[in-house]
Amino acid sequence: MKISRIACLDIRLKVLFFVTIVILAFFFNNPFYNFVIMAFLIGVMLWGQLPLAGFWSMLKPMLTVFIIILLFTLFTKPYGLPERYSEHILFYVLPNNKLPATLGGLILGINFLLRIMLMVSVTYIFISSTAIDDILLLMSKLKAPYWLSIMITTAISFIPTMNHKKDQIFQAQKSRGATVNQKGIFGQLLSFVPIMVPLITNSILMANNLAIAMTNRGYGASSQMTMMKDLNFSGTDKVLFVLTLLIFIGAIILRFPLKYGVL
Amino acid sequence: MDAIQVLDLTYHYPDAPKASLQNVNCNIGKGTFTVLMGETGAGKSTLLMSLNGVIPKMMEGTQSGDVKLEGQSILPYRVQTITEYVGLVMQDAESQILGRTVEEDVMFGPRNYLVPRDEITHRVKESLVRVRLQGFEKRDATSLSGGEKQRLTIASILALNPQILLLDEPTSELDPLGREEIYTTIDDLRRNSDMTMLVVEHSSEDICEKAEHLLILQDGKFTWQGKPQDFFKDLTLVIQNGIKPITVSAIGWHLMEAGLINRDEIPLTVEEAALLIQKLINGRPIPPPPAISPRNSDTLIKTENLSFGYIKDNLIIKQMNLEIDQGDFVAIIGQNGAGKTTLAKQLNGLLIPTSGKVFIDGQDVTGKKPEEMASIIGYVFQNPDHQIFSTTVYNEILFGLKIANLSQTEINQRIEEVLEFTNLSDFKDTHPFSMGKGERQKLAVASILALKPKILVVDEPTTGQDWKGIRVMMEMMKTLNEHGTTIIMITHDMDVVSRYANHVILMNQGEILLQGRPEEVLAETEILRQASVTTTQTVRLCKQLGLPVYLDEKLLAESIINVSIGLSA
Repeated sequence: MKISRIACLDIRLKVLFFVTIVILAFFFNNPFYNFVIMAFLIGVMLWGQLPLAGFWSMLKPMLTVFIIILLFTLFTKPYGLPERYSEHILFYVLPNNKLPATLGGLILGINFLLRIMLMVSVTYIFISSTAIDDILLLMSKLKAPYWLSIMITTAISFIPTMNHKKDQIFQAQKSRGATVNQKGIFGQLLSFVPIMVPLITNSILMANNLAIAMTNRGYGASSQMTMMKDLNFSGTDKVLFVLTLLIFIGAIILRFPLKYGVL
Repeated sequence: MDAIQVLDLTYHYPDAPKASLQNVNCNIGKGTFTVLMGETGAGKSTLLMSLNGVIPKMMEGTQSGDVKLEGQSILPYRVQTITEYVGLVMQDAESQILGRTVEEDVMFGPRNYLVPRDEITHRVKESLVRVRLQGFEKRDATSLSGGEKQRLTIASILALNPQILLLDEPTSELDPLGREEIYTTIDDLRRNSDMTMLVVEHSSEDICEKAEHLLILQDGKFTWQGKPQDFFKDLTLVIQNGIKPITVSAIGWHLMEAGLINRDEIPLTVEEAALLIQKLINGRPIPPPPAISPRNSDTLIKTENLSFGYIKDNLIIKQMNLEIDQGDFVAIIGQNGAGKTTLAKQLNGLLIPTSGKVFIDGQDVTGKKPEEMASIIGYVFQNPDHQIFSTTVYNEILFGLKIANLSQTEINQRIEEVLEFTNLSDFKDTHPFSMGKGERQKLAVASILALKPKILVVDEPTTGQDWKGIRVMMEMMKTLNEHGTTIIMITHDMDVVSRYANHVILMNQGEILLQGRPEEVLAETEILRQASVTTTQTVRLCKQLGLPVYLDEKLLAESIINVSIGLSA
């Protein structure tokens, strides 16, 4: 896989960026401003060489939820918006002026959607460009206990192993005629017993094995581990760090003293 | 001085009826290569874990006696202190890989000992070279083959620079090629270091030549110690200890019993045997083995242009046309990744073919669900623990029968029958997990046989089993086959193939490379080699001597004896 431009950046910068965007997402209630931030994030993805297809696949399953949110807010009376928006009626769904859709409701819905999309985008930028090692490194910098990092890495490296186990158990039980499509809630729950019991017993056996395997490799010999990488802040990191801070401060000035972006 | 000294060591697991090690004593010389053999449950793994302190430090049982490394008792030390000197590679490679990439896994050990970063980088490189995995540093550990995983676990221990290396069945799950790779690695290690090595192994033929010292453990006691050659030349001793004999040595033993050779002359390798037999028969022709009745010709399973792939352009099974007859005992052989299991899983619907059709008894069963097929095809998986979930043996067998909606009398009758057949009647109310692995394997088979399938697929029935376990399992299959069940077995064990199968299918890269009677397929050593499969010692011997191909070493020995006696008379 190609290493993206963002992946090379320092994790501290990425954390700052992440936090900034999450805060900014709640600054403005003018959809235009949120839209600008969204466009900026797409720009960051393009500059950072992150595949947009990955972003789309994260967004796709949420589309139904988006529509439901929009429908819901459109017909509810929005709070916190001036009357000229919340009382502005776009149309009525039912005859006799029943169930009005308001402009305020529409704005509220769009803001909701944009905020969700901002969170999704910034999360996508963060996780798709950050190696687990960097997170662990940051944890050890923050003096998080060493067993916590080990727990995270082993847990992650065991996901494919467990998944494989689950498949094997499924196949073994299906070959004996077991189905998971039994009638009724109780029946369905019962049909999972033949899968869950071996899965749990196997997990316990594996955990036991793992504990011995870790000890065999000296786990616990000392209270630390050799760190294989250092965090280092490059020139680009510094420039971008300052830039992110400037964006953050700029947004604060826009929002509070100048009161821009507020309807 | 001895590298390892075991003094009156006894260990008792909590709740076990008897001690797993009973007053065990042995000395292992520095820089030697020792092999530890014994039946399943003899205490081999327990002994290995006692040598690096995992037992008793991490287990709750009771221990007495002592273990000394270069004269010093290990008892006062922490396990992590001992493991820097004594590296232990356990059986299941998968659960020992602690990193996401190869490199990360190898680093894990030295990092715990706070080895400096540059030194770790150096050790990673060096250990990967030693197991011939150089260039694999950045590879995802889950993408490795079985053999590669096993070698990675060795590399990860080597990165600790241990003086003693303990390997617990390092080749049990591997195909012949994988085994060879591990043994080349072990040979390299021996040549290039003065490491003391202790290896647990079931395969007699692989180790006899290589080991300097052999320890036989039975029921927690050493029953024999000495040079492996001395042990394997004595067939009675080998069988008494439940160890699989070396085939050519067994032939030699029969020749000795017939008074044709001395005990010292019993061969240990095919080459030695060929020389010896050449002298005995002196150019006289050996008659071919008795003819075997031909296969039944009623087709039971048929596939038409069967193809399968998880990804469209990467087919694991390619356009396969296969016919299996009613009552066949089929062996599917080939290296890991050849597509053997993938093929078998198409037959009962566990995998749906990408294209092509599967017919059973003339009926198109393509796309049927495995649960619909359960009463026609039984599928015995390698690990019984993937399916056992009930609290008693009886209930475990009951499960499938209940789903099949049979009457209570029918159910009871079938359970009785199947318990009787698998010799589990005494265990009817036992909790499956309190039985040994061999019994659990039988239970897994029993729960499938209760459904009375016409066809039984057995996926690597002999893997990780000792000689006795293999024979019990295979005799069971043989009896079933004689009663009319068609057996399809996937295996790496050519001795089992030659003894039990009547039709052999050699697969390579998703295609059938060769099929036919076992004596035909196993004799094609060149084609077998292309598919990384090795033939049996008996067949190799026949080929080397230019004799008609025998599968049964006993029949071959008899023919040689007859000809030789005829010669001298």
